[in-house]
Amino acid sequence: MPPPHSSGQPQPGSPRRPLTAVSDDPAAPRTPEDLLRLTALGQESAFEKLYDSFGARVFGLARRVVRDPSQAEEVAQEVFLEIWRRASRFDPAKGSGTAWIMTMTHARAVDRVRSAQAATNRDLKVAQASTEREIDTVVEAVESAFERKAVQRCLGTLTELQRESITLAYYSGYTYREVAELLTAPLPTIKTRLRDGLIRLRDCLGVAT
Amino acid sequence: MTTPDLHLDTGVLALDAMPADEAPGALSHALSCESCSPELVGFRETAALLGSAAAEAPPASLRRSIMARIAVTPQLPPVTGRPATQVAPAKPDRDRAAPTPAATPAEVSATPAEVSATPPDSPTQPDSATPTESARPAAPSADTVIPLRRWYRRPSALVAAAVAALVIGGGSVVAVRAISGPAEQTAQTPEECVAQAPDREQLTPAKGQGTATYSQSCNAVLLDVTGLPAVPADKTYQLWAIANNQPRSLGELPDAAAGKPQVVTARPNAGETVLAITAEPAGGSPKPTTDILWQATLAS
Repeated sequence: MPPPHSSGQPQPGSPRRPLTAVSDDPAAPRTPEDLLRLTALGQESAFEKLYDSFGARVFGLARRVVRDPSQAEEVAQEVFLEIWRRASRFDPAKGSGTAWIMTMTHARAVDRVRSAQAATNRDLKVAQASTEREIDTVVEAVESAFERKAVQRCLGTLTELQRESITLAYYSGYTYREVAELLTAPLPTIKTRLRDGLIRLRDCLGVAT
Repeated sequence: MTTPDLHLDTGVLALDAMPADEAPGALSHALSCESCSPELVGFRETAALLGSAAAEAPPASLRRSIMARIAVTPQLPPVTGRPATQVAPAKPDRDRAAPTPAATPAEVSATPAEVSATPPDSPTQPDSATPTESARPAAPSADTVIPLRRWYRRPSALVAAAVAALVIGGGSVVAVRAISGPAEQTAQTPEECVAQAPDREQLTPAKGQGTATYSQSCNAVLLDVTGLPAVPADKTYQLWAIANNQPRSLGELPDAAAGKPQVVTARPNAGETVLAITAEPAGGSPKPTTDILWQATLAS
């Protein structure tokens, strides 16, 4: 075994040091909250980092809800412009930066899909989804890969009905009344399923409350 | 609607599944009800993870157009002196129908006014929730928010013109990125490096679940060790890099030991071709003392 590098990286010599995803350079802020704070100060580089870590999530969620890639792109653009504009209004005491961004994204996507015009497009299911496009290789979904796995695993712990209800509401953007109609269930039942399902998901995913 | 029903609404609200006509009542209850409010926050965090799971790489053009647009988009000032007020949300589609370029200068100057001009209709509501709740039910107060919406939704023709000017005027956008580039390089973490490395590759663990993304050029591996079961408090998981059967500790994995997802960045030394995880007594061991539970081999 060759001698260890002295690369300046935290190394084996400190075995008690918990391995966390980020650690090497304390001077470089990189939590979403930090990046939002710097973005609020007008730092475009911080905003660009936010884009790098959230671009795939924002676009992917928008795409999942609105389906049409070009509409998803519009939604993602709106969301990032809103992040840029409203970064100063983000309050870390009220929730994580990730939740702020993803809540915004989902609301936008749902707005879009519920508008009359989109309703028609949605039925078309836009098959040209996978037309060739140049993918942004800088925006990375590595971080999302583990979230995806955890979410899939935790969705698996729900009852079929909870999972169906949550999927229809969140990923397809249906209102709970529409969900009730689709699943031919009474309205209070759907509300209960959504809530119980979220409780189970929250606990499974280890979301701090 | 009965009160018990209202308590159930947190789930519906967090998923944006409340029809517009019911949303105001449900929301005001959720915000005033002591147990509902934190529940709503937790549900939103949960929903955010659901959303993250749908991640998909966007087209490269998206970054360019966003960066070009923020270069010409002013930011809202921070809210001072009182809790975040309900700031009028953006309603893209409706305003877009009738862009009014002439209105833009006024909108620009109106920006600081929006905070005070907009009624704080739900002072306890985190501003972060604005897009969700305020958007759809806001119809009755549309008068107060129109200017802001307009401002937010700047006529796209105007923006397009500004962007075009920017690009034509000597590649300003590119210049901005070139300036910020080096700084980002120096601040780059191994995680970021791997995420952006052209030579990154996904390794399938030979043992255990999860994924490992390795980039030789970054000399780093991003491990996703989701799937390791929680261990008792007197145990922990420990990560090792192995060269010629010589293990070197890379530290403990406290989150994984608690049964939570954990992503770690490992920096293998030259010659270390295997990463492995074992369960060890709390505090870790100088050498592995149990069988390997998770293992991935780096490209030789």
